Amino acid sequence: MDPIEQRVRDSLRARAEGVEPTPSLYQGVQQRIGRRQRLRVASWSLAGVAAIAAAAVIVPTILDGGLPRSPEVADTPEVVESPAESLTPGDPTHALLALEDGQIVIADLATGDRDVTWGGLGEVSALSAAPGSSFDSYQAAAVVAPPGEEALVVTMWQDGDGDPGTGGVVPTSTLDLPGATGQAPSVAISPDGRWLAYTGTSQLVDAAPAVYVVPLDGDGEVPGSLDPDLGAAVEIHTVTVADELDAIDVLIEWSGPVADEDDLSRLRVRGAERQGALVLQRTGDGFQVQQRETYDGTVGDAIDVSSDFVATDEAAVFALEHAGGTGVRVRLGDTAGGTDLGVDAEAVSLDARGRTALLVGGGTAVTLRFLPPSTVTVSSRLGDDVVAGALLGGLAPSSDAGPDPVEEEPSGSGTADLGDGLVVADDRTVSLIRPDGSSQELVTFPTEGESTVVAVAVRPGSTATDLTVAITTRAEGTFDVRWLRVVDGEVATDVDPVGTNFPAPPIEGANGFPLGVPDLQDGRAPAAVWSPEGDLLAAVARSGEGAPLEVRTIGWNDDGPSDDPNLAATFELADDRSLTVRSWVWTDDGEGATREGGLLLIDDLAGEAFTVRLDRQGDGAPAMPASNPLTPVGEGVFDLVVGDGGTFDGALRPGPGGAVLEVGGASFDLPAEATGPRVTGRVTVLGGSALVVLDPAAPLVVDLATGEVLAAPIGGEVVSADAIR
Amino acid sequence: MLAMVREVVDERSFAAIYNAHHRQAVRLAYLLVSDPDQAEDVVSEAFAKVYVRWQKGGVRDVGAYVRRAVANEANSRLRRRYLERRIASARTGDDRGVRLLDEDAADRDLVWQGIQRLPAKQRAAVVLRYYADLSEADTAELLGCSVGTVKSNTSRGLARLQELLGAAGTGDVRGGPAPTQHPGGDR
Repeated sequence: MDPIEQRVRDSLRARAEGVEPTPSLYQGVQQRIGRRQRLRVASWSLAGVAAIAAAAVIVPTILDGGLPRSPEVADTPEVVESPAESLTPGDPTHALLALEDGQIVIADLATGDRDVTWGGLGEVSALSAAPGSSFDSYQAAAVVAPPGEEALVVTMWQDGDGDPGTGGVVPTSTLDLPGATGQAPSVAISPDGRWLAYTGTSQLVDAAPAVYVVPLDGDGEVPGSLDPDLGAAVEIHTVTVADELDAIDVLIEWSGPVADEDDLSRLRVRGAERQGALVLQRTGDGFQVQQRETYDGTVGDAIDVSSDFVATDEAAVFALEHAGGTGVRVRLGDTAGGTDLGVDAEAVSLDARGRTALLVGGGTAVTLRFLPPSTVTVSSRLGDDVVAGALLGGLAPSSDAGPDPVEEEPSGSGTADLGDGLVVADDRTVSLIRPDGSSQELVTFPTEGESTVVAVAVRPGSTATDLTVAITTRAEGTFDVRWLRVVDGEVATDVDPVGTNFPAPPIEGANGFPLGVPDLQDGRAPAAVWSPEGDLLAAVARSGEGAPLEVRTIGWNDDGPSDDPNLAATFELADDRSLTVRSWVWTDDGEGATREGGLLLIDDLAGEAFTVRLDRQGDGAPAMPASNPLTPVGEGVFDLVVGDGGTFDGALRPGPGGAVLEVGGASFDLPAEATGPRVTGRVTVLGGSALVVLDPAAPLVVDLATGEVLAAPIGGEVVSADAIR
Repeated sequence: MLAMVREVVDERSFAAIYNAHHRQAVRLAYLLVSDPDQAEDVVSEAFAKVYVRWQKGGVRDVGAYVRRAVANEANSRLRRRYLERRIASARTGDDRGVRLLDEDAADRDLVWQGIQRLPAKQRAAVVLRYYADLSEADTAELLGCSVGTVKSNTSRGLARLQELLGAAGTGDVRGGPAPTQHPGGDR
């Protein structure tokens, strides 16, 4: 121990020895415990009384507004006190609520229980939760104004199961946020929790309204803002003057991918009379505005619209509109009516996920729930002391609602087909979705400076209880392929799914796994694919920048990577394009000593697809012809579907309405709002259905028999998915 | 009746847990927030959280859990107060606080003043490493960060302290505002 360490230790111990607890401390502990228990009791009794009042105030106004096209409102709305029995995988479970006294609580939508997370410092004027936030894992931001002081932007996060050590609250003064001035800004957190957007006043263009984006560190703090070594300096990554949207008053929600360069996401915003979105493109060190969108007119004078795909059979769209004067009304579906809430538009906010909407206005918070086929209920009333709120859990909004969101939404009447189950991944977590819609988290990568998931591939022959998944991850611009096994429903590889030991040893081989290679051109990932038998794994990669494109393979058995050197091979491709691999199929019946087959490769930005021949020899080792040319199989394609017969018989192409899925001679139009400004996507075949991930927030299932488009019952962002076969 | 008996038993058991850990908890909280009243507030909140968890049977190492809850709660308050101090510093000028007369005590006081000026994360790392004697790995687990982050914050904290103590030798210790309150005083 060096002298400074010793001095620190001596000082700390001397200081601590002078501290003795006061006799009243235990009383303080008991008071805190009692307060927590009272909160729960109080919210129970509130729910009983308040639901009646909610029915009296809100429900009639809905009835008066006429019937939406779909769904219809029941003549006698059912008031549900504890609607847990009606919850589906797409429904939110909790809400973050800001109260009049400045406290921020989490309310259980089924029971009304409240748990205080933070607050009491001052009045809260804004509250926003990151898309995909749930009760167990959320990130949120609020604006708090202590009396007589500058407003604070408070970021809150919870990473685990409610353990006090895994969450936190960070107040940041608006003094530390350039452009926020002294006014209370509106705030939104990026889907990955790493960026904070807020409204302010431009320092560059005549003090015009502007939107800023600054980074957050892993703990929700604006780096440097609280560090005396750095003073109040904060790097400004994005400044956009909101001229085309008039004044942007409120940031509603930020959705879409933001992890990689060129990713496009949408920041939904709202002005005094119009709403719209900023399409943000991720750059090397921040974001730039790629496109501005405005909506007005056909949804009345819209104040807010929240729309969702729902897990079952109907799309619920909740809208807030001006109702003349300062009034505001809520509307469900595309009815021309709407229902006056009798409260000031300035004080109303709307959030919706799945079939549930949270409406906060006039100090009151209620949830509205659509229960198929035709019932809308005031499912719970969350108190008369609420000033702002956000839903947690459930499906995140799929996209910005346009002039007529209902007409543009897919509507089906079937049930999403999950086949034998799906493995889906957002950029941090790989999960198993079972056919019954239940899910199991298989692995979550740490958030700080670690890998993000870019693709998953399920080993053929896997089942929902016994499966192997190859996971392609990206860290600091290079990729690795990792894997995990599930045996009897439990993650069985020697990995710690949340600890520092993850993953299990990356795929080791004589010829280059882990991939450890820089980005392919345009940042595309060298996703891995399995041979149809699951005994070989292949990926396309480069050994370094400027190096030729290679196909790498490694053998596999039930325990993991094989040590058979014949199966670990590398083949350099003659045609050097920017390609990723989609699938591996055999093109003969395997009767001969050598079985012919090929890899399906795609350049999704150029819209070109190719095959390259890759055979299997008698000893099982892969072999590629010396010339190994790429054979074009399609243009204008950004993904291909491999049919049951092992042929390349399907394609996903850009279309006039958004995208077109072609499978086996049939073609299906996919909705424009799910496509986004740049058409990219992935298709996975699920028996008689296809899972299409066009918008990470709203994966779709297309019934290949009927062409019906359904929302997949998968909450949160999906960057990759594969079916269990 | 059975529920009532259960409540009494629970309360007595929790009281035993409180008695075993509250003193250390208050001292740790004080080192993290500097203010004895706030330290007790932090500990009250921490034990309330521990109680909820303990009732559910979810606490295996109560001592570690209490430390974790205290550090987390203190961290939030420290950051909030840092803002308040920044605003106040513009108005109050010199806030170095009361010095002790004894030479060793004076040095400890000087070091303590420096510790109070550290950013929250550096301060937490330094206190947990050199007061609580936690390893880097245990500190990382408690703070919910990587071992590398603990190393970095500890190293930066010590470097900053040396810088402040060096400045103190020249009579300029103004690294930032940090009003000193002595334990037991100002209640």
